[in-house]
Amino acid sequence: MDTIKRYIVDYLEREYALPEGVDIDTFDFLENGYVDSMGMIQFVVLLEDEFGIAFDDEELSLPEFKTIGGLAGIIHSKMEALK
Amino acid sequence: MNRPIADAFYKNAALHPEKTAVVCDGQSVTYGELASEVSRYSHFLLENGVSYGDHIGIPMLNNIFSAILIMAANEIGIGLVPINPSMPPAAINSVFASGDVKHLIAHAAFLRRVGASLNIPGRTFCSDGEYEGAVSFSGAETCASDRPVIPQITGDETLVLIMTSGSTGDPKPIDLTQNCKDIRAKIFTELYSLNGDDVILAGTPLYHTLAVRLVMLPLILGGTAVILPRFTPELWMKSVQESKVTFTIAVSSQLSQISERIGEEYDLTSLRCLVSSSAWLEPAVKERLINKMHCEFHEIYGTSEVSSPTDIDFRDSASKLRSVGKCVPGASIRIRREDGSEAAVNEIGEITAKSVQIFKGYYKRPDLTAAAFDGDYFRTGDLGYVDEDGFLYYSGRIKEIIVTGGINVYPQDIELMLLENPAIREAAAFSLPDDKLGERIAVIVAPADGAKITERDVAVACARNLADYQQPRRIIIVHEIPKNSMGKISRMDLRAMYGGEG
Repeated sequence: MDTIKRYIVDYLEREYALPEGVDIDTFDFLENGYVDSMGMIQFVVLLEDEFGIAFDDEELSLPEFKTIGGLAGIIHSKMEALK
Repeated sequence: MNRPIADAFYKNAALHPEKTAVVCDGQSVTYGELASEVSRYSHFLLENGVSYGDHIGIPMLNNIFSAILIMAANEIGIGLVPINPSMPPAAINSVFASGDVKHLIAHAAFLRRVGASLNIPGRTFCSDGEYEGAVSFSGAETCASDRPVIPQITGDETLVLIMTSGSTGDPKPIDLTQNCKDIRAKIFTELYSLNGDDVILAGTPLYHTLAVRLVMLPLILGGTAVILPRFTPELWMKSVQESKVTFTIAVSSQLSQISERIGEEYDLTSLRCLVSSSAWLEPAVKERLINKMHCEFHEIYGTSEVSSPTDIDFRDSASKLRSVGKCVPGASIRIRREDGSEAAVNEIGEITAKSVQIFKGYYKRPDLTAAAFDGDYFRTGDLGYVDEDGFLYYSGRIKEIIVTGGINVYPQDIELMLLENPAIREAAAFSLPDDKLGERIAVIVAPADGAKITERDVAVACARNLADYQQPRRIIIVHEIPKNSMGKISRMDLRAMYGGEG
Protein backbone atom coordinates (compact mmCIF):
# COMPACT_ATOMS: atom_id res chain seq x y z
CA MET A 1 0.00 0.00 0.00
CA ASP A 2 1.42 3.44 -0.87
CA THR A 3 1.96 6.19 1.72
CA ILE A 4 -1.17 8.13 0.85
CA LYS A 5 -3.48 5.13 1.08
CA ARG A 6 -1.76 3.94 4.26
CA TYR A 7 -2.37 7.36 5.85
CA ILE A 8 -6.05 7.32 4.84
CA VAL A 9 -6.58 3.74 6.04
CA ASP A 10 -4.84 4.38 9.38
CA TYR A 11 -7.03 7.43 9.91
CA LEU A 12 -10.22 5.56 9.04
CA GLU A 13 -9.21 2.62 11.23
CA ARG A 14 -8.77 4.76 14.33
CA GLU A 15 -11.98 3.33 15.77
CA TYR A 16 -13.08 0.46 13.57
CA ALA A 17 -11.03 -1.90 11.47
CA LEU A 18 -12.09 -1.97 7.83
CA PRO A 19 -14.15 -5.06 6.94
CA GLU A 20 -11.97 -8.07 6.14
CA GLY A 21 -11.36 -8.69 2.45
CA VAL A 22 -12.87 -5.36 1.43
CA ASP A 23 -11.72 -3.76 -1.84
CA ILE A 24 -9.83 -0.79 -0.42
CA ASP A 25 -9.99 1.17 -3.67
CA THR A 26 -13.77 1.22 -3.99
CA PHE A 27 -14.73 1.15 -0.30
CA ASP A 28 -17.09 4.07 0.47
CA PHE A 29 -15.99 5.16 3.95
CA LEU A 30 -18.60 7.91 4.29
CA GLU A 31 -21.59 5.69 3.57
CA ASN A 32 -20.19 2.96 5.82
CA GLY A 33 -19.93 5.25 8.82
CA TYR A 34 -16.12 5.46 9.12
CA VAL A 35 -16.31 9.25 9.01
CA ASP A 36 -19.49 11.25 9.44
CA SER A 37 -20.27 14.42 7.55
CA MET A 38 -19.06 16.54 10.47
CA GLY A 39 -15.91 14.47 10.86
CA MET A 40 -15.13 15.08 7.17
CA ILE A 41 -14.19 18.66 8.00
CA GLN A 42 -11.49 17.46 10.38
CA PHE A 43 -10.36 14.75 7.97
CA VAL A 44 -10.03 17.20 5.06
CA VAL A 45 -8.03 19.64 7.19
CA LEU A 46 -5.63 16.89 8.28
CA LEU A 47 -5.17 15.63 4.71
CA GLU A 48 -4.43 19.13 3.44
CA ASP A 49 -1.97 19.67 6.25
CA GLU A 50 -0.27 16.29 5.86
CA PHE A 51 0.20 16.43 2.09
CA GLY A 52 0.63 20.20 1.66
CA ILE A 53 -2.36 20.62 -0.64
CA ALA A 54 -5.70 22.44 -0.61
CA PHE A 55 -8.94 21.00 -1.94
CA ASP A 56 -11.47 23.21 -3.70
CA ASP A 57 -15.23 22.84 -3.23
CA GLU A 58 -15.61 21.03 -6.54
CA GLU A 59 -13.15 18.34 -5.50
CA LEU A 60 -14.85 17.89 -2.14
CA SER A 61 -18.12 17.06 -3.87
CA LEU A 62 -16.65 14.49 -6.30
CA PRO A 63 -18.00 10.95 -5.75
CA GLU A 64 -14.37 9.69 -5.78
CA PHE A 65 -13.70 11.72 -2.66
CA LYS A 66 -15.65 9.19 -0.57
CA THR A 67 -13.63 6.11 -1.55
CA ILE A 68 -10.11 5.34 -0.34
CA GLY A 69 -8.76 4.71 -3.85
CA GLY A 70 -10.51 7.74 -5.31
CA LEU A 71 -9.35 10.05 -2.53
CA ALA A 72 -5.75 8.77 -2.76
CA GLY A 73 -5.89 9.40 -6.51
CA ILE A 74 -7.06 12.99 -6.06
CA ILE A 75 -4.32 13.66 -3.50
CA HIS A 76 -1.69 12.05 -5.71
CA SER A 77 -2.56 14.14 -8.76
CA LYS A 78 -2.67 17.34 -6.73
CA MET A 79 0.79 16.62 -5.34
CA GLU A 80 2.07 15.88 -8.83
CA ALA A 81 0.66 19.19 -10.08
CA LEU A 82 2.59 21.04 -7.38
CA LYS A 83 5.91 19.57 -8.50
CA MET B 1 -11.18 -16.22 45.38
CA ASN B 2 -14.16 -14.18 44.18
CA ARG B 3 -14.61 -13.07 40.58
CA PRO B 4 -18.28 -12.09 40.44
CA ILE B 5 -18.56 -11.48 36.70
CA ALA B 6 -16.11 -14.09 35.40
CA ASP B 7 -17.58 -16.77 37.71
CA ALA B 8 -21.10 -16.13 36.36
CA PHE B 9 -19.79 -16.23 32.81
CA TYR B 10 -17.91 -19.52 33.22
CA LYS B 11 -20.94 -21.06 34.91
CA ASN B 12 -23.04 -20.19 31.84
CA ALA B 13 -20.32 -21.58 29.59
CA ALA B 14 -20.40 -24.89 31.46
CA LEU B 15 -24.22 -25.05 31.26
CA HIS B 16 -24.66 -24.05 27.60
CA PRO B 17 -21.33 -24.42 25.76
CA GLU B 18 -23.05 -24.46 22.35
CA LYS B 19 -25.08 -21.27 22.88
CA THR B 20 -24.01 -18.12 21.02
CA ALA B 21 -22.24 -15.76 23.41
CA VAL B 22 -21.13 -12.85 21.23
CA VAL B 23 -22.02 -11.70 17.71
CA CYS B 24 -20.17 -8.95 15.85
CA ASP B 25 -20.00 -8.00 12.19
CA GLY B 26 -21.00 -11.39 10.77
CA GLN B 27 -18.83 -13.38 13.21
CA SER B 28 -19.93 -15.18 16.33
CA VAL B 29 -18.53 -17.28 19.17
CA THR B 30 -20.25 -19.80 21.42
CA TYR B 31 -19.96 -19.80 25.19
CA GLY B 32 -17.63 -22.80 25.01
CA GLU B 33 -15.33 -21.10 22.52
CA LEU B 34 -15.38 -17.80 24.35
CA ALA B 35 -14.56 -19.43 27.70
CA SER B 36 -11.54 -21.18 26.16
CA GLU B 37 -10.39 -17.93 24.54
CA VAL B 38 -10.78 -15.95 27.77
CA SER B 39 -8.69 -18.56 29.63
CA ARG B 40 -6.02 -18.68 26.93
CA TYR B 41 -5.74 -14.88 26.75
CA SER B 42 -5.61 -14.70 30.55
CA HIS B 43 -2.72 -17.16 30.68
CA PHE B 44 -1.04 -15.39 27.76
CA LEU B 45 -1.13 -12.01 29.48
CA LEU B 46 0.16 -13.51 32.75
CA GLU B 47 3.01 -15.23 30.88
CA ASN B 48 3.95 -12.01 29.08
CA GLY B 49 4.65 -9.59 31.88
CA VAL B 50 1.11 -8.65 33.02
CA SER B 51 0.39 -9.19 36.73
CA TYR B 52 -2.69 -9.14 38.93
CA GLY B 53 -3.59 -5.49 39.69
CA ASP B 54 -1.84 -4.01 36.62
CA HIS B 55 -3.59 -1.36 34.55
CA ILE B 56 -3.73 -1.70 30.79
CA GLY B 57 -4.43 1.20 28.45
CA ILE B 58 -6.55 0.27 25.48
CA PRO B 59 -8.08 2.13 22.55
CA MET B 60 -10.96 -0.33 22.68
CA LEU B 61 -12.57 -1.22 19.36
CA ASN B 62 -16.00 -2.78 18.93
CA ASN B 63 -15.12 -6.38 18.20
CA ILE B 64 -15.09 -9.86 19.73
CA PHE B 65 -11.46 -9.44 20.80
CA SER B 66 -12.55 -6.66 23.18
CA ALA B 67 -15.22 -8.92 24.69
CA ILE B 68 -12.55 -11.56 25.36
CA LEU B 69 -10.30 -8.96 26.94
CA ILE B 70 -13.04 -7.57 29.20
CA MET B 71 -13.69 -11.07 30.54
CA ALA B 72 -9.96 -11.80 30.86
CA ALA B 73 -9.59 -8.61 32.93
CA ASN B 74 -12.35 -9.93 35.23
CA GLU B 75 -10.65 -13.30 35.35
CA ILE B 76 -7.16 -12.19 36.41
CA GLY B 77 -7.95 -8.98 38.29
CA ILE B 78 -6.44 -6.38 36.00
CA GLY B 79 -7.82 -2.92 35.25
CA LEU B 80 -8.63 -1.62 31.78
CA VAL B 81 -8.22 2.05 30.94
CA PRO B 82 -10.19 2.51 27.72
CA ILE B 83 -9.48 5.58 25.62
CA ASN B 84 -11.05 7.14 22.58
CA PRO B 85 -8.63 6.16 19.77
CA SER B 86 -8.89 9.61 18.21
CA MET B 87 -7.27 11.30 21.23
CA PRO B 88 -3.99 13.06 20.50
CA PRO B 89 -0.83 11.51 22.06
CA ALA B 90 -0.32 14.23 24.71
CA ALA B 91 -3.82 13.67 26.05
CA ILE B 92 -3.37 9.89 26.05
CA ASN B 93 -0.12 10.23 28.03
CA SER B 94 -1.83 12.46 30.58
CA VAL B 95 -4.72 10.03 30.97
CA PHE B 96 -2.40 7.01 31.22
CA ALA B 97 -0.22 8.72 33.83
CA SER B 98 -3.19 9.56 36.04
CA GLY B 99 -4.50 5.99 35.73
CA ASP B 100 -1.11 4.31 36.43
CA VAL B 101 -1.24 2.56 33.08
CA LYS B 102 1.56 0.03 32.80
CA HIS B 103 0.85 -1.79 29.55
CA LEU B 104 -0.84 -1.00 26.24
CA ILE B 105 -3.01 -3.21 24.05
CA ALA B 106 -3.74 -1.62 20.68
CA HIS B 107 -4.39 -2.32 17.02
CA ALA B 108 -1.62 -1.84 14.46
CA ALA B 109 -3.16 1.28 12.88
CA PHE B 110 -3.17 2.97 16.30
CA LEU B 111 0.43 1.95 17.03
CA ARG B 112 1.57 3.27 13.64
CA ARG B 113 -0.18 6.58 14.22
CA VAL B 114 0.73 7.39 17.84
CA GLY B 115 2.61 4.41 19.33
CA ALA B 116 6.02 6.09 19.22
CA SER B 117 4.76 9.15 21.14
CA LEU B 118 3.34 7.22 24.11
CA ASN B 119 5.06 6.57 27.44
CA ILE B 120 4.38 2.91 28.25
CA PRO B 121 6.53 1.61 31.14
CA GLY B 122 5.51 -2.03 30.60
CA ARG B 123 4.69 -4.12 27.54
CA THR B 124 2.93 -3.13 24.33
CA PHE B 125 0.65 -5.74 22.75
CA CYS B 126 -0.63 -5.61 19.18
CA SER B 127 -4.18 -6.91 18.92
CA ASP B 128 -4.22 -7.54 15.16
CA GLY B 129 -1.17 -9.28 13.76
CA GLU B 130 2.48 -8.37 14.12
CA TYR B 131 3.95 -4.97 14.94
CA GLU B 132 7.59 -4.22 15.57
CA GLY B 133 8.40 -3.95 19.26
CA ALA B 134 4.95 -5.20 20.30
CA VAL B 135 3.88 -8.61 21.57
CA SER B 136 1.53 -10.37 19.14
CA PHE B 137 -1.43 -12.34 20.46
CA SER B 138 -0.70 -15.21 18.06
CA GLY B 139 1.07 -16.97 20.96
CA ALA B 140 -2.19 -17.14 22.90
CA GLU B 141 -3.41 -20.05 20.77
CA THR B 142 -1.04 -22.50 22.46
CA CYS B 143 -1.82 -21.36 26.02
CA ALA B 144 -3.78 -23.52 28.46
CA SER B 145 -7.57 -23.30 28.30
CA ASP B 146 -8.29 -23.96 31.98
CA ARG B 147 -9.10 -21.07 34.33
CA PRO B 148 -5.99 -19.49 35.85
CA VAL B 149 -5.87 -19.47 39.66
CA ILE B 150 -5.55 -16.00 41.19
CA PRO B 151 -5.75 -16.64 44.94
CA GLN B 152 -5.81 -12.98 46.00
CA ILE B 153 -8.75 -11.85 43.85
CA THR B 154 -11.74 -10.49 45.82
CA GLY B 155 -13.84 -8.57 43.26
CA ASP B 156 -12.76 -5.24 44.73
CA GLU B 157 -10.12 -4.87 42.05
CA THR B 158 -10.40 -2.04 39.57
CA LEU B 159 -12.02 -3.38 36.42
CA VAL B 160 -12.36 -0.17 34.44
CA LEU B 161 -11.00 3.35 34.90
CA ILE B 162 -13.10 5.87 32.99
CA MET B 163 -11.55 9.28 32.36
CA THR B 164 -13.79 12.30 32.62
CA SER B 165 -11.50 14.95 31.22
CA GLY B 166 -9.37 15.01 28.15
CA SER B 167 -6.25 16.72 27.02
CA THR B 168 -5.07 19.59 29.16
CA GLY B 169 -7.62 19.35 31.97
CA ASP B 170 -6.99 17.42 35.13
CA PRO B 171 -8.17 13.87 34.34
CA LYS B 172 -10.53 12.38 36.91
CA PRO B 173 -10.25 8.60 36.69
CA ILE B 174 -13.57 7.04 37.75
CA ASP B 175 -12.73 3.78 39.48
CA LEU B 176 -15.24 0.99 38.77
CA THR B 177 -14.49 -2.34 40.43
CA GLN B 178 -15.71 -5.80 39.46
CA ASN B 179 -18.16 -5.76 42.38
CA CYS B 180 -19.46 -2.32 41.35
CA LYS B 181 -20.02 -3.46 37.76
CA ASP B 182 -21.70 -6.62 39.08
CA ILE B 183 -24.12 -4.64 41.28
CA ARG B 184 -24.95 -2.34 38.35
CA ALA B 185 -25.68 -5.40 36.20
CA LYS B 186 -27.96 -6.84 38.91
CA ILE B 187 -29.93 -3.58 39.21
CA PHE B 188 -30.43 -3.47 35.44
CA THR B 189 -31.44 -7.14 35.38
CA GLU B 190 -34.14 -6.45 37.94
CA LEU B 191 -35.27 -3.15 36.43
CA TYR B 192 -35.73 -4.49 32.89
CA SER B 193 -36.55 -8.13 33.79
CA LEU B 194 -33.58 -9.43 31.83
CA ASN B 195 -32.65 -13.12 31.65
CA GLY B 196 -30.67 -15.68 29.68
CA ASP B 197 -33.07 -15.50 26.74
CA ASP B 198 -32.20 -11.88 26.05
CA VAL B 199 -30.15 -10.74 23.08
CA ILE B 200 -28.54 -7.46 24.10
CA LEU B 201 -27.08 -4.94 21.66
CA ALA B 202 -24.02 -2.85 22.54
CA GLY B 203 -24.35 -0.11 19.93
CA THR B 204 -22.05 2.57 21.39
CA PRO B 205 -18.24 2.64 21.36
CA LEU B 206 -16.65 0.19 23.80
CA TYR B 207 -14.33 2.87 25.15
CA HIS B 208 -17.38 4.24 26.96
CA THR B 209 -18.64 2.47 30.06
CA LEU B 210 -22.18 1.98 28.68
CA ALA B 211 -21.13 -0.51 26.01
CA VAL B 212 -18.84 -2.40 28.39
CA ARG B 213 -21.89 -2.90 30.60
CA LEU B 214 -24.01 -4.04 27.64
CA VAL B 215 -21.41 -6.65 26.71
CA MET B 216 -21.02 -8.00 30.24
CA LEU B 217 -24.77 -8.09 31.07
CA PRO B 218 -25.72 -10.93 28.69
CA LEU B 219 -22.55 -12.88 29.53
CA ILE B 220 -23.46 -12.74 33.23
CA LEU B 221 -27.05 -13.83 32.42
CA GLY B 222 -26.28 -16.50 29.83
CA GLY B 223 -27.78 -14.45 27.01
CA THR B 224 -26.21 -13.20 23.78
CA ALA B 225 -24.20 -9.99 23.33
CA VAL B 226 -24.38 -8.28 19.94
CA ILE B 227 -21.61 -5.76 19.36
CA LEU B 228 -22.26 -3.16 16.69
CA PRO B 229 -18.93 -2.58 14.90
CA ARG B 230 -19.76 1.11 14.37
CA PHE B 231 -22.87 3.19 14.35
CA THR B 232 -25.05 4.22 11.47
CA PRO B 233 -28.85 4.14 11.82
CA GLU B 234 -29.00 1.45 9.10
CA LEU B 235 -26.39 -0.79 10.76
CA TRP B 236 -28.19 -0.45 14.09
CA MET B 237 -31.59 -1.42 12.67
CA LYS B 238 -30.13 -4.19 10.50
CA SER B 239 -28.37 -5.62 13.53
CA VAL B 240 -31.58 -5.58 15.61
CA GLN B 241 -33.41 -7.39 12.81
CA GLU B 242 -30.73 -9.99 12.00
CA SER B 243 -29.80 -10.93 15.57
CA LYS B 244 -33.36 -10.53 16.92
CA VAL B 245 -32.16 -8.12 19.58
CA THR B 246 -34.51 -7.93 22.59
CA PHE B 247 -32.92 -5.19 24.70
CA THR B 248 -30.56 -2.27 24.29
CA ILE B 249 -29.59 1.07 25.71
CA ALA B 250 -28.85 3.74 23.11
CA VAL B 251 -27.64 7.31 23.52
CA SER B 252 -30.03 10.08 22.64
CA SER B 253 -28.08 11.32 19.60
CA GLN B 254 -28.39 7.83 18.09
CA LEU B 255 -32.08 7.63 18.88
CA SER B 256 -32.82 10.91 17.17
CA GLN B 257 -31.30 9.52 13.95
CA ILE B 258 -32.98 6.13 14.36
CA SER B 259 -36.39 7.65 15.09
CA GLU B 260 -36.46 9.28 11.65
CA ARG B 261 -35.97 5.92 9.96
CA ILE B 262 -38.15 3.50 11.94
CA GLY B 263 -40.66 1.60 9.84
CA GLU B 264 -38.72 2.09 6.63
CA GLU B 265 -37.37 -1.34 5.86
CA TYR B 266 -36.24 -3.13 8.99
CA ASP B 267 -38.25 -5.31 11.33
CA LEU B 268 -37.60 -4.15 14.89
CA THR B 269 -40.38 -6.15 16.56
CA SER B 270 -37.93 -8.42 18.40
CA LEU B 271 -37.11 -5.47 20.69
CA ARG B 272 -38.85 -5.94 24.01
CA CYS B 273 -37.35 -2.89 25.69
CA LEU B 274 -35.43 0.16 24.47
CA VAL B 275 -33.68 2.58 26.84
CA SER B 276 -32.38 6.09 26.13
CA SER B 277 -29.31 7.23 28.01
CA SER B 278 -26.55 9.84 28.28
CA ALA B 279 -28.38 13.05 27.45
CA TRP B 280 -31.79 14.54 27.50
CA LEU B 281 -33.95 13.39 24.61
CA GLU B 282 -35.86 15.99 22.62
CA PRO B 283 -39.64 15.79 23.15
CA ALA B 284 -40.30 15.39 19.40
CA VAL B 285 -37.91 12.42 19.18
CA LYS B 286 -39.42 10.95 22.32
CA GLU B 287 -42.94 11.13 20.89
CA ARG B 288 -41.84 9.64 17.59
CA LEU B 289 -40.26 6.69 19.38
CA ILE B 290 -43.24 6.16 21.66
CA ASN B 291 -45.60 6.17 18.68
CA LYS B 292 -43.52 4.06 16.34
CA MET B 293 -41.85 1.50 18.62
CA HIS B 294 -44.04 -1.32 19.81
CA CYS B 295 -42.03 -2.05 22.93
CA GLU B 296 -41.22 -0.69 26.37
CA PHE B 297 -39.43 2.61 26.06
CA HIS B 298 -37.44 3.99 28.98
CA GLU B 299 -35.14 6.89 29.69
CA ILE B 300 -32.46 6.84 32.37
CA TYR B 301 -30.59 9.65 34.04
CA GLY B 302 -27.17 9.43 35.59
CA THR B 303 -23.42 9.93 35.48
CA SER B 304 -20.53 7.47 35.20
CA GLU B 305 -19.94 7.87 38.96
CA VAL B 306 -23.44 6.89 40.13
CA SER B 307 -24.59 4.96 37.05
CA SER B 308 -28.34 5.43 36.65
CA PRO B 309 -30.22 6.41 39.81
CA THR B 310 -33.49 7.15 37.97
CA ASP B 311 -35.52 5.50 35.22
CA ILE B 312 -38.84 6.24 33.55
CA ASP B 313 -41.09 3.91 31.56
CA PHE B 314 -43.01 6.22 29.24
CA ARG B 315 -45.83 3.74 28.71
CA ASP B 316 -46.67 3.88 32.43
CA SER B 317 -45.96 7.58 32.83
CA ALA B 318 -47.45 9.21 29.75
CA SER B 319 -48.13 12.43 31.66
CA LYS B 320 -44.48 12.80 32.69
CA LEU B 321 -42.87 13.05 29.26
CA ARG B 322 -40.41 15.71 30.38
CA SER B 323 -39.22 13.78 33.42
CA VAL B 324 -36.11 11.58 33.62
CA GLY B 325 -37.88 9.27 36.03
CA LYS B 326 -38.09 7.94 39.54
CA CYS B 327 -35.43 6.29 41.67
CA VAL B 328 -34.41 2.76 40.75
CA PRO B 329 -33.97 0.09 43.47
CA GLY B 330 -31.12 0.99 45.82
CA ALA B 331 -31.00 4.67 44.81
CA SER B 332 -32.30 7.92 46.24
CA ILE B 333 -32.21 11.49 44.97
CA ARG B 334 -31.88 14.64 47.03
CA ILE B 335 -32.11 18.14 45.56
CA ARG B 336 -29.58 20.38 47.28
CA ARG B 337 -29.81 24.12 47.77
CA GLU B 338 -26.61 26.16 47.53
CA ASP B 339 -26.46 26.38 51.34
CA GLY B 340 -26.55 22.58 51.57
CA SER B 341 -30.13 22.28 52.81
CA GLU B 342 -32.69 20.13 51.00
CA ALA B 343 -34.85 21.86 48.39
CA ALA B 344 -38.66 21.72 48.53
CA VAL B 345 -40.86 19.88 46.01
CA ASN B 346 -40.62 21.52 42.55
CA GLU B 347 -37.72 23.73 43.66
CA ILE B 348 -34.63 23.68 41.43
CA GLY B 349 -31.29 22.80 43.00
CA GLU B 350 -28.31 20.52 42.46
CA ILE B 351 -29.20 16.88 41.83
CA THR B 352 -27.39 14.66 44.33
CA ALA B 353 -27.70 10.89 44.33
CA LYS B 354 -27.06 8.06 46.73
CA SER B 355 -26.93 4.62 45.18
CA VAL B 356 -25.67 1.08 45.67
CA GLN B 357 -24.31 1.52 42.13
CA ILE B 358 -21.83 4.16 43.34
CA PHE B 359 -18.24 4.12 42.04
CA LYS B 360 -15.27 3.38 44.29
CA GLY B 361 -13.91 6.93 43.97
CA TYR B 362 -11.61 8.91 41.71
CA TYR B 363 -8.49 6.76 41.41
CA LYS B 364 -5.77 7.97 43.82
CA ARG B 365 -7.60 11.29 44.20
CA PRO B 366 -9.25 11.21 47.66
CA ASP B 367 -9.35 15.03 47.52
CA LEU B 368 -11.56 15.04 44.42
CA THR B 369 -13.64 12.16 45.75
CA ALA B 370 -14.33 13.94 49.05
CA ALA B 371 -15.24 17.15 47.24
CA ALA B 372 -17.73 15.29 45.05
CA PHE B 373 -19.85 14.11 47.98
CA ASP B 374 -22.26 15.71 50.41
CA GLY B 375 -22.44 12.96 53.04
CA ASP B 376 -23.49 9.78 51.21
CA TYR B 377 -24.83 11.75 48.29
CA PHE B 378 -22.81 12.25 45.10
CA ARG B 379 -23.02 15.80 43.72
CA THR B 380 -23.76 15.44 40.01
CA GLY B 381 -23.19 19.08 39.06
CA ASP B 382 -26.58 18.97 37.31
CA LEU B 383 -29.58 21.11 38.15
CA GLY B 384 -33.06 19.71 38.55
CA TYR B 385 -36.13 19.29 40.69
CA VAL B 386 -38.42 16.57 41.97
CA ASP B 387 -42.21 16.90 41.57
CA GLU B 388 -44.94 15.95 44.05
CA ASP B 389 -45.03 12.38 42.65
CA GLY B 390 -41.29 11.85 43.11
CA PHE B 391 -40.35 12.30 39.43
CA LEU B 392 -37.01 13.94 38.70
CA TYR B 393 -36.67 16.68 36.08
CA TYR B 394 -33.34 17.75 34.59
CA SER B 395 -32.93 21.52 34.15
CA GLY B 396 -29.32 22.12 33.11
CA ARG B 397 -25.80 22.08 34.44
CA ILE B 398 -23.86 23.87 37.11
CA LYS B 399 -20.50 22.74 35.80
CA GLU B 400 -19.49 24.34 32.54
CA ILE B 401 -19.43 21.22 30.45
CA ILE B 402 -20.53 20.97 26.83
CA VAL B 403 -22.46 17.78 26.12
CA THR B 404 -22.25 17.00 22.42
CA GLY B 405 -23.70 13.75 21.12
CA GLY B 406 -23.86 12.48 24.71
CA ILE B 407 -20.14 13.03 25.34
CA ASN B 408 -18.83 15.51 27.93
CA VAL B 409 -16.40 18.09 26.60
CA TYR B 410 -14.52 20.47 28.89
CA PRO B 411 -14.26 23.90 27.24
CA GLN B 412 -11.01 24.55 29.14
CA ASP B 413 -9.32 21.67 27.29
CA ILE B 414 -10.00 23.38 23.97
CA GLU B 415 -9.15 26.87 25.20
CA LEU B 416 -5.80 25.89 26.76
CA MET B 417 -4.78 24.15 23.53
CA LEU B 418 -5.63 27.23 21.44
CA LEU B 419 -3.84 29.58 23.84
CA GLU B 420 -0.59 27.66 23.35
CA ASN B 421 -0.42 29.39 19.96
CA PRO B 422 1.40 32.73 20.46
CA ALA B 423 -0.67 34.25 17.64
CA ILE B 424 -3.80 33.83 19.79
CA ARG B 425 -4.41 36.29 22.61
CA GLU B 426 -7.86 35.19 23.74
CA ALA B 427 -9.85 32.02 23.14
CA ALA B 428 -13.14 30.69 24.43
CA ALA B 429 -15.05 27.50 23.69
CA PHE B 430 -18.79 27.43 24.25
CA SER B 431 -21.85 25.50 23.17
CA LEU B 432 -24.51 26.26 20.60
CA PRO B 433 -27.83 24.42 20.45
CA ASP B 434 -27.93 21.60 17.89
CA ASP B 435 -30.89 19.51 16.73
CA LYS B 436 -28.93 16.29 16.33
CA LEU B 437 -26.11 16.52 18.88
CA GLY B 438 -27.96 18.43 21.61
CA GLU B 439 -25.09 20.89 21.71
CA ARG B 440 -22.29 21.61 19.29
CA ILE B 441 -18.99 23.27 20.03
CA ALA B 442 -18.10 26.79 18.92
CA VAL B 443 -14.82 28.58 19.48
CA ILE B 444 -14.15 32.29 19.41
CA VAL B 445 -10.62 33.54 19.01
CA ALA B 446 -8.92 36.95 19.11
CA PRO B 447 -5.43 37.29 17.56
CA ALA B 448 -2.44 38.70 19.44
CA ASP B 449 -1.42 42.28 18.60
CA GLY B 450 0.03 42.41 15.12
CA ALA B 451 -0.67 38.72 14.50
CA LYS B 452 -2.99 37.30 11.90
CA ILE B 453 -5.06 34.20 12.43
CA THR B 454 -7.56 32.61 10.06
CA GLU B 455 -10.44 30.18 10.57
CA ARG B 456 -8.36 27.62 8.74
CA ASP B 457 -5.44 28.06 11.18
CA VAL B 458 -7.81 27.35 14.04
CA ALA B 459 -9.37 24.38 12.22
CA VAL B 460 -5.93 22.86 11.57
CA ALA B 461 -4.85 23.33 15.20
CA CYS B 462 -8.05 21.67 16.41
CA ALA B 463 -7.86 18.81 13.91
CA ARG B 464 -4.25 18.11 14.95
CA ASN B 465 -4.48 18.53 18.72
CA LEU B 466 -8.00 17.63 19.78
CA ALA B 467 -10.02 14.42 19.71
CA ASP B 468 -12.96 13.98 17.31
CA TYR B 469 -15.59 14.80 19.89
CA GLN B 470 -13.79 18.04 20.82
CA GLN B 471 -13.82 19.47 17.29
CA PRO B 472 -15.51 22.85 16.96
CA ARG B 473 -18.35 23.02 14.44
CA ARG B 474 -18.14 26.79 14.28
CA ILE B 475 -15.09 29.07 14.40
CA ILE B 476 -15.40 32.80 14.98
CA ILE B 477 -12.51 35.25 14.67
CA VAL B 478 -12.88 38.65 16.35
CA HIS B 479 -10.57 41.52 17.38
CA GLU B 480 -11.71 41.20 20.96
CA ILE B 481 -13.93 38.62 22.68
CA PRO B 482 -16.98 40.29 24.23
CA LYS B 483 -16.85 40.39 28.07
CA ASN B 484 -19.50 40.72 30.74
CA SER B 485 -19.81 43.64 33.13
CA MET B 486 -17.15 42.09 35.35
CA GLY B 487 -14.73 42.11 32.42
CA LYS B 488 -14.85 38.32 32.17
CA ILE B 489 -15.55 36.10 29.20
CA SER B 490 -18.90 34.43 29.84
CA ARG B 491 -19.63 31.26 27.90
CA MET B 492 -23.34 31.72 28.66
CA ASP B 493 -23.30 35.21 27.11
CA LEU B 494 -21.44 33.95 24.04
CA ARG B 495 -24.03 31.21 23.63
CA ALA B 496 -26.82 33.80 23.79
CA MET B 497 -24.96 36.11 21.41
CA TYR B 498 -24.20 33.54 18.70
CA GLY B 499 -26.88 30.93 19.38
CA GLY B 500 -29.50 32.57 17.20
CA GLU B 501 -27.38 32.50 14.07
CA GLY B 502 -27.11 29.48 11.73
